[in-house]
Amino acid sequence: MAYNRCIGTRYCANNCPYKVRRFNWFNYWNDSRFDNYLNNEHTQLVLNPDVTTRFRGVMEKCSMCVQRIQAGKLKAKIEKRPLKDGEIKVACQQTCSANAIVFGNANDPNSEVSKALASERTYYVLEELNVQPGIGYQVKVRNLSELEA
Amino acid sequence: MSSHSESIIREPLITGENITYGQITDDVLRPVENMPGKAWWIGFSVASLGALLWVVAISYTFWFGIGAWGLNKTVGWAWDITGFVWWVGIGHAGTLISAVLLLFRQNWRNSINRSAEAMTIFAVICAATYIGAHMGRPWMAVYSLPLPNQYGSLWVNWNSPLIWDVFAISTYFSVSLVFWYTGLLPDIATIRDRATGLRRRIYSVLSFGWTGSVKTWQRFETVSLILAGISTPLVLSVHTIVSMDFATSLEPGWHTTIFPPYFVAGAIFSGFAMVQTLLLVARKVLGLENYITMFHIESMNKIILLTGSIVGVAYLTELFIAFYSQAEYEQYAFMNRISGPYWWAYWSMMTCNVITPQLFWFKKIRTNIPLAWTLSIVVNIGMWFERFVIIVTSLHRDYIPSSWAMFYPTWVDVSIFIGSIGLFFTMFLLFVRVLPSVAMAEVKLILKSSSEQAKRKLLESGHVEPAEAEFYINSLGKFDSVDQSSYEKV
Repeated sequence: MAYNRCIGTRYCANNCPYKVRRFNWFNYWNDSRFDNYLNNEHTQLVLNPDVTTRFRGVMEKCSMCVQRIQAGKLKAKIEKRPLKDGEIKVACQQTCSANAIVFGNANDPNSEVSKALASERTYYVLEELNVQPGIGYQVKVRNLSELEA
Repeated sequence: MSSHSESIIREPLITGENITYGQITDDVLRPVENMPGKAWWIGFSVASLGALLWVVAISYTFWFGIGAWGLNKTVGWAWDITGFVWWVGIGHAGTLISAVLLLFRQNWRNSINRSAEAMTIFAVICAATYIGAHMGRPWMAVYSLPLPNQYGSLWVNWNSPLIWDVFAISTYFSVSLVFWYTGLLPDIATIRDRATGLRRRIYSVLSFGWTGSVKTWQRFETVSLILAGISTPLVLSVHTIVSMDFATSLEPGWHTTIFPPYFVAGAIFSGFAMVQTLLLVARKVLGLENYITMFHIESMNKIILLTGSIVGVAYLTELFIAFYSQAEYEQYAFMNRISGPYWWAYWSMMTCNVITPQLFWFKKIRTNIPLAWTLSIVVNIGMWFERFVIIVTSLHRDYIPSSWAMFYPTWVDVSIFIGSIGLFFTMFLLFVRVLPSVAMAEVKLILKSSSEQAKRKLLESGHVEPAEAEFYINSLGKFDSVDQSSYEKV
């Protein structure tokens, strides 16, 4: 998402079959009609300093923590080495207590995420539309044989 | 005198006795050269109040953000793009009348092309305001243009139909404006020649120094034909591209190949309805009954009937294809239109666009001015609902049921729509005051061949088959501007 380039036609949100895009309807951080943490001098501090707050009229969605990806790539570059699998963790993955989220390079066949995606349990939401999402899910394992017995 | 006379069995395009070139100028310029009457002032007051409402509602939106509208994450377009498509569609009739009918030598267009083209321009302006207003950051609208910039390789996305739309609408607007203004030149010169003082100076500048020499007229005819040639494909392309905003997406209910022809037919349908809405009133108020005759009204009603029926066939085809395709999402989208929470919008659309225009099969209704006017309003309403149905009922329930939502307009949505109508009528009423609402030069062109008085001369010459003469006199019965009894002695 190039937020700076967005003119806010909401066309992408309309066309998103997953309806995951979110629009900045108002200037939430600078609009006295909204009483939220964005407007409070102290609570504002919880905002991630690595990411700017988006202006009103701009579309956004999960960026896969692009700031973490950038930081990880730069670190590897400075140390003159390739990026290691698992070196970059997205925020939701880092905080997930059940360890349900795997993130990594799907083009690297040895990465954890590639192995997970190769599993027969993997499926993609609305796969029939062929929009080829980058995110796969895994079906719940059920012990069907017991039911059949 | 022209060397040949038009066949007597064709109905006259100009009625009235003793119509001279000077008389046409006097009649057409009456609203331009005199202070407006009470009807104009009442209309203008109401319209400009509407335009004021538009200014307030648009300013409110710009100040606070698009959140002032009733949209949500599921329904990202509603009254805004409904209004946009509605206005663009309305514009199409003007171009069809001025360009396509010119190429097909339909001389009856000469009386109505000027106001219809003006309507096109004002409708496209209203549409364009919706495009600007619906953007989250309208001050960045320039990003929709492929302008060289210093942001690296940042360019517009040519895969996006919205970019095609930018080109379709801006081309349409500029070509329509040039065509309209070129047609106006000789008429502005006429006003100039009759005016004095400051008015004369203003119209002199506006007439681009029109001299009225043979060479000027020759160039005028050439450039009109060329512009008609350029405008003609636009009649088809503009709404085709507008429909691609929807058709190229994945959205069930939008993703259909029928959209381009269906949108074009709908556009012409709604456009003629709006021409009818405007002209039925304008001819009365401005006293133009002799130029915009019952023949014109009936012809336009026939076009409304034809295009309305095409639109009706398209609706039924959509339903059939949804059933026949066995595509679940598509089938649900159409079931939801018919019987979902927005069923009333679908059935309003069906009633107003498909059922009621069929009344125009009856000549009595086609030639009844109050009824024709009422039906034109009904068509306008129906076509607004069509776009609402396409946009909102497709978006509000698509692939993932957890995201399903409803759209409820806010006062801002409603005010912008009502306001845009006010804006449109404000512009139209001002136009009627300062420019000739009938193309005088073009009407004069057909006076010697197609007017009632020319036909009467032909009748009186006695070289007409009696059966044809009778047919002709009978056909005059529907004209509200002809006294049929005056033909008894002929």
